[in-house]
Amino acid sequence: MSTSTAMLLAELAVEALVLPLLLVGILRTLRARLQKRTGPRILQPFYDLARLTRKSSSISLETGPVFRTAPAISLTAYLLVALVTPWWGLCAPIRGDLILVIFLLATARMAIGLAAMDTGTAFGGMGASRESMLSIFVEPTMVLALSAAALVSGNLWLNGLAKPSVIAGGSAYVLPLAAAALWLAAAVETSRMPIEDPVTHLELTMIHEAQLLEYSGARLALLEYQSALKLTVLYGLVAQLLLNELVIREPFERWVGTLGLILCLVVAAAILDTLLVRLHWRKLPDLLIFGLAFSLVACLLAALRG
Amino acid sequence: MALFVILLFVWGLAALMSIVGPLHNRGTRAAVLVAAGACLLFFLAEDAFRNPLVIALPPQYCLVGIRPCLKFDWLSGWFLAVLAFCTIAISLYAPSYMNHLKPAPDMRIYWVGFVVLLAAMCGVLLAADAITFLICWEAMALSSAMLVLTNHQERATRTTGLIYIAATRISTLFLAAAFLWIHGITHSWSFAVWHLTGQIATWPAILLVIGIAIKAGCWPFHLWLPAAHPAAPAPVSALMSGVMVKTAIYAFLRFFIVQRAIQSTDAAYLLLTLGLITAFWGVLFTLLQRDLKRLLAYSTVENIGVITCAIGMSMVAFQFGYAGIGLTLEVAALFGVLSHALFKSTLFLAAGAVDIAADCHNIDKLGGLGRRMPRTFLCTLAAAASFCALPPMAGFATEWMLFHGSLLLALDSHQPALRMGALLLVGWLSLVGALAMATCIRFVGVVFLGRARSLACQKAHECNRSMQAGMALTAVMSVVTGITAAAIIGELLHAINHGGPQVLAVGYSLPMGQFVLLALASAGLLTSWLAYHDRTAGTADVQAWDCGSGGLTARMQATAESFAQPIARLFGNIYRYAIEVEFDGASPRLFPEHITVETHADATMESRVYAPIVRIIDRLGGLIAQLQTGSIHTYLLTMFATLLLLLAVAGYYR
Amino acid sequence: MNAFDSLLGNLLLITSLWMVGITAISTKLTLYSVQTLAVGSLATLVGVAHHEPALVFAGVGVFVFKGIAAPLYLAHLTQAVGCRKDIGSFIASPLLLLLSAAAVGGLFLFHPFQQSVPPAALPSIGVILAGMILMVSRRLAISQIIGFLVLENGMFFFTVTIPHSLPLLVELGVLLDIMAGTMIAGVLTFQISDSFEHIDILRLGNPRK
Repeated sequence: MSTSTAMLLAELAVEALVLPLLLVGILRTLRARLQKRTGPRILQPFYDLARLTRKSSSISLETGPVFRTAPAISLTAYLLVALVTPWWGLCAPIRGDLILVIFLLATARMAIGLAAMDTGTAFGGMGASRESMLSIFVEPTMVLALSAAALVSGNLWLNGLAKPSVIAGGSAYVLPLAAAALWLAAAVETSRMPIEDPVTHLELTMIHEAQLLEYSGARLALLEYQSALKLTVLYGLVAQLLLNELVIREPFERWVGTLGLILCLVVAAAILDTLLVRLHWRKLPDLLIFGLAFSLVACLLAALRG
Repeated sequence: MALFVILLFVWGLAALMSIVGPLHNRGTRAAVLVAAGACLLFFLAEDAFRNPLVIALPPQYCLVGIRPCLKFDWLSGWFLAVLAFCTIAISLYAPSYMNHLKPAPDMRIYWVGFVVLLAAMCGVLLAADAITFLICWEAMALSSAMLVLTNHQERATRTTGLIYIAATRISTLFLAAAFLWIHGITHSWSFAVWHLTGQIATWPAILLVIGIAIKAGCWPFHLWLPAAHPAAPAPVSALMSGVMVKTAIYAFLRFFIVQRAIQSTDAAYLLLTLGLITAFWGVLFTLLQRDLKRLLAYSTVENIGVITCAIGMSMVAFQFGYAGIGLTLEVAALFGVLSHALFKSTLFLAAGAVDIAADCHNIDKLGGLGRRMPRTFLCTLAAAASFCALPPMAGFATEWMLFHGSLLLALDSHQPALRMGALLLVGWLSLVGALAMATCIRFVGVVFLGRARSLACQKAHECNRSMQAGMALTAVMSVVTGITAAAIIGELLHAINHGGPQVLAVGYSLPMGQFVLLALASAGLLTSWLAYHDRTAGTADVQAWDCGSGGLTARMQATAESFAQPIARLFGNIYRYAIEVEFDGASPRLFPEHITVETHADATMESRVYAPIVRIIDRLGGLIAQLQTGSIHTYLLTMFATLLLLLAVAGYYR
Repeated sequence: MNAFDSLLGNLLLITSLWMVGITAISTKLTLYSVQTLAVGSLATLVGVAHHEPALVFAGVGVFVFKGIAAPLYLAHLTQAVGCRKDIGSFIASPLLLLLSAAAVGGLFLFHPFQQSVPPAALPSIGVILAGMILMVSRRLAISQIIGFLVLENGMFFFTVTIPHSLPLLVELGVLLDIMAGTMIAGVLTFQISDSFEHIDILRLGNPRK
């Protein structure tokens, strides 16, 4: 391994460890300020995590090994996603493609879903069931959006997103549409506002969070970090699509641009969290279908370009 | 060849063993011999995979004037190897399972049927001419029908058996028509001579597709599959779903891709459409099933749909001249056959184990079996992961090749319609994949996790060692084949290219080894950290959060029904899903005392399409029955009329 | 020019499809306004570039009347009638969105009007299709007016992308007709709302009810 690769890996590690929690801190603080509250410090998520890892876990008597290991499995899946996607603006150290990413996300979803079923509570099952319903929209949306982007960049491997082989001018809406679809899917995956209220803990209204209700201590710490990482990686991917639309190719510029765009998306998320109200979960298909339709139209336009 | 004869001899001996000798261990002896035969079969398959060989039987074995011909090549070898694997696992599992069955089945019927089914499947996979193929196809159908009817004392089973036999008859009818048609064009029964292209190939190809699709359980001919599997004993379901249904896939591959016997664009599109609908339909109905084995049967329908999609897409790619992509998709289908055979037999065997342990196959009455049957649970989990195509399982390699091939087609082609079609296929299959995952969480979660929903479930204990061994073999294989998929697919591509012109295909080019190592390292570190943390920081045993209602009971957890509800509502029109909630009590709105929830779903294909057809046939049958009054004069008159009609027809065509 | 044309065509198409999927009237009006302003400015630019004063007039007319005045008027109407959302459509709007996306996709991929329509004008056919779907599917009268306006946008874009396809004088006449039509439809809707206390087309089928 050459030194430059090692440097790159070290940078990725630092970015994957620090950036997610920082972003979550920014998001929470910003949202609080927008709602005229003082809110937590920006570094609060780090303290939270440290506090959680010190605590002992409360584990329900009825749960088995699935519940105990699921956080580790799902975090592993997300770490792999972070390793194979160019979410930080530069090429990923390991070559992976969109299919692998989609199925890694599915692995995490399955682990958490089974863990929720393992608790034997009504809430866990409800969360798992609703999350499965949402995944019916999220998964095709992500696949189609990323495929459209892959078609534009002329490369099926995800690193092609960071280093597109063909960018001839604009993409005739393919990339913006794909980015919009991916952003909507990311909003579902990261439980943002019109889909789910990230601050409430009223059991009946929760979807993703209902699955995590029984977790505490170190396991909860892993899950918190995982959700922050998920937010960062998905926003990073959205940023890649937008950067390709803007024809930014220089690695350093891409890196800076990615950071900037992720920050913009986080600010947008904070604003939307403040402005929007949560939709009833049965109304969600009406919203999510737009993600699907956008990615379909993106695919259509991408297919017509060739 | 000698090996093949020995193999048949060993299996014959197995059948004999089940008929004669001391009663108590007939099953075990037969099973051992069947497994030994399967090991031989594996070597045979390996040999066929590398050294293709065509054998014509000696002239004294002539059938209707032609010499039966057997062909050993890589395609047969691949399917024979799959057959051998599943057979070994199933025969390890079967004896103790059959001993636990109540009422005790007739071992003779079971083992003789089993052996005949195995031999017939070998015959189908090896046949090189239409007559041999058709005879073996028939033998396969009848022997499997015999196995489905193992528990023939029950009326429901007999009805199921009738449905199954009817389906296979219709399948054979279509196949025979197709073969006759092709024979009319080519004047040969031998597959090697058949090369039909263009307009002339269309109708035989469509007949062939329908005939094989019935056997495969493609929509709209899938109805026999969910009927037959729950009725049959678990090992039989495992063999039928794991391998027998795959002979239909073999036939698709043999006729349309490998041999290029018939090339028809219409057939390709038909196959693709059938596959797309089948996959969606199958998974949608999997989601609502309550019977464990019926659920698995519907999921087989889904998997068959996905594999059929791969074959259809491969045909399309070949026809548009993208040979490399076509080959990639073909390999996806082949690997899909392997992965599905492995995980589906594991799941069926596990379902059998659950059925015996908890004496119930209604998933509404199961639950919490994971801690009582940890090994069965582990096997099921591995198989379910492969079913959901989670990396690095075998199922993932299949989906990866299929998606990657389709996306490559979208990338390389210059026709917008083809590009969009390939993208839509990928989107559609990912929708199916998301649904499949939901069914999997539901199935594993409700049966193995949470709290036990019945007393029998609480008392359940792990099945015995030989049954565990059978399940573990296929489960471990689905992990191993997943991790080594790149090497296996490389071998497969090598074998395919060996027979024909060199074609470059994509292969399984993910750096899976790195991923597996990283994932193991990360998951291992994290879990051991968690375990260490639990030990040092301590854990508090608590009750799960119950909103302070004073303890959760098994009835409060999500049921299979409630889990499926959000998705079922979404696709309600397809099932005609209806949910009725009734509140009862003094003040039903505020203080309901009794709440009843009723859900209805309809197997729409059966109730809206097949039931009317059956009614019409019944009515017509009634009309014909009026002729059968028993009066000899009517019969004579009918015969006379027929004779006149035939003479008239003959005269007209002269 | 050509690349710009197709960019604009796709924008029109996307906004029209989007409108099929949503039920909120104000969002629909905003989207309609965006696409009409885009079409108007395109026509003006084309007119300036090709020195066709009639086209410039038409473009400015569309920009001002159809892009600004009509949406404002319809927004006012919505306020006055008190209908902020579609009361319903004959097919669930998410499903309709997918179906119309599929229909437009099929239109693009299989191109059924190969002889009469050049590929550059295909988006406008898609817009006309979306407008028709919008008109046919909705129960609220205002949505149907919007659908009609979208349809007209598609036709106008068609005339702009195909040179010399339609005398521009005719287009100007159509523009005036549209203005008059919108006004009349608006007044009628207002009247209907006044006398029936709703503007649900489905319930207008049998006025005696």
